[in-house]
Amino acid sequence: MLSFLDREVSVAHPGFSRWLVPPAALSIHLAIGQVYSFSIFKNPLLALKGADGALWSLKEVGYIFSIAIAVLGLSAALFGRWLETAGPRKAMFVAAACFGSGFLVAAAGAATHSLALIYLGYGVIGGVGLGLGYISPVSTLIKWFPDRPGLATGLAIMGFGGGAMIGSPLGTKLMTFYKASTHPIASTWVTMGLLYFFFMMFGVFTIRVPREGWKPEGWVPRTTQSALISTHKVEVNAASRTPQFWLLWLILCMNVTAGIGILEQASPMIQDLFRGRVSAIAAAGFVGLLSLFNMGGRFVWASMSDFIGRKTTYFVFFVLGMFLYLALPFAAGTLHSVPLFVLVAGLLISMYGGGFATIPAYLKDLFGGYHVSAIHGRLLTAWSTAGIVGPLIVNGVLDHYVANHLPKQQAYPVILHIMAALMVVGFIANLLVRPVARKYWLESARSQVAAAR
Amino acid sequence: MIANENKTSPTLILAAWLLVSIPAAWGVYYTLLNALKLFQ
Repeated sequence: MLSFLDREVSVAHPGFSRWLVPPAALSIHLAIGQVYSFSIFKNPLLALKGADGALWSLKEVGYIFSIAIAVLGLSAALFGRWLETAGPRKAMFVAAACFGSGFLVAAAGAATHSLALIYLGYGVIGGVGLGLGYISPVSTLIKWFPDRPGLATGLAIMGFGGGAMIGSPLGTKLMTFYKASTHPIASTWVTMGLLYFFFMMFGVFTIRVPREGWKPEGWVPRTTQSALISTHKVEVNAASRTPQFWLLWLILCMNVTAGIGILEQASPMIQDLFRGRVSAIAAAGFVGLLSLFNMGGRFVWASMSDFIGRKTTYFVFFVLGMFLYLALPFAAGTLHSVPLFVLVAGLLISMYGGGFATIPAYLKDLFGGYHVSAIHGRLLTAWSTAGIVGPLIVNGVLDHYVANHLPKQQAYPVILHIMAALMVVGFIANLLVRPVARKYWLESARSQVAAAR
Repeated sequence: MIANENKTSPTLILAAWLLVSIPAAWGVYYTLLNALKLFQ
């Protein structure tokens, strides 16, 4: 019955336009990007009373988002290999089913005041949808756009940044709409689950894989290109054993850890550094502006990497990033300039987003397109790690200053200098990236096995 | 051979892009409205 999801059925017919593939991928990423707007449900959930009048704590509610992100990383790493054999359509369908039904299970949890059900629904089931949805269109896009892999993956991953911008007003408006109902949060989640499921179905039915040997009309692969761009295939397990995989893991981890340092603390940071000049409402505007830079950076930097190369792009992130992290406290402390502070922070966040969007193309350059989604899935554990390390650094330094009765404003330069140091680590890791050794190539591995027999 | 190819209609491509662009533009509009508060 579900044979229409098979890879063979989703092979494109001659004349199929590759420009239908990015919207298909975007429909998935725009939907799952909703996870970044989960904070809008925090206060309504905190106000939700059980039958016995019990309330949930901020910590308990905070775990919902943390579980979802942790499961995202885990499922991307675990199911990446399955995705390569099952094909993008089946993976996108499972992602949509998990993401949509996760909302429904969580809605049952909100209606019955069961936090465990919300953890299971939004956190675990929805988290699997997030992980599978995030990686499912990547290798297909790279196969359709061998001439512009950065542009193609940048477009899709830009959607993940944009998803929060849709999820936030949508969730708020739905909660207002259902205000008079018995269970406003549950009704909102049921509606969102169904809406997102059908929106993602557009991607499921539109996605196609190219025919064997297909290439863009008139496109001739360059005969001379960077030594870093592989013409060979590397299988996912072999890729995980290469130093290049772990260097890229470190590159992503450093870039994301530093970016999270700003993103997580953006609103209180600008209010603390410009006390009396930036209100809480204006700080919310700053957060909104950063999300626009985050989204735009994903597209602009990833597209630019097609022209200047992936390694150069990350060099720009780490060199420029280091100077900008050092300049940020200067813009606030010495120059007292809000516009300059906002511009520098925006540029940094554009490179945070750019780092996410450029990494699939960097992986494709090094390991070929054969298992790129699966390799990408495993690399996303760097994101999960950064999600823990980044806030730990920021909150650790801030807690130290508060505990020692020191002015909080003095903590920010320390935090930002640590982020600048992370940029140096990322720079060194990027510097060490070399072409993948022949012994890891798929053909080479097969011939070694044959020789051993 | 090329004449037998069932070329994707440009209208279909436009419709697909509109389907994802409209909600994205709606989200960007709300974010911009929010961001403007920084300069008020």
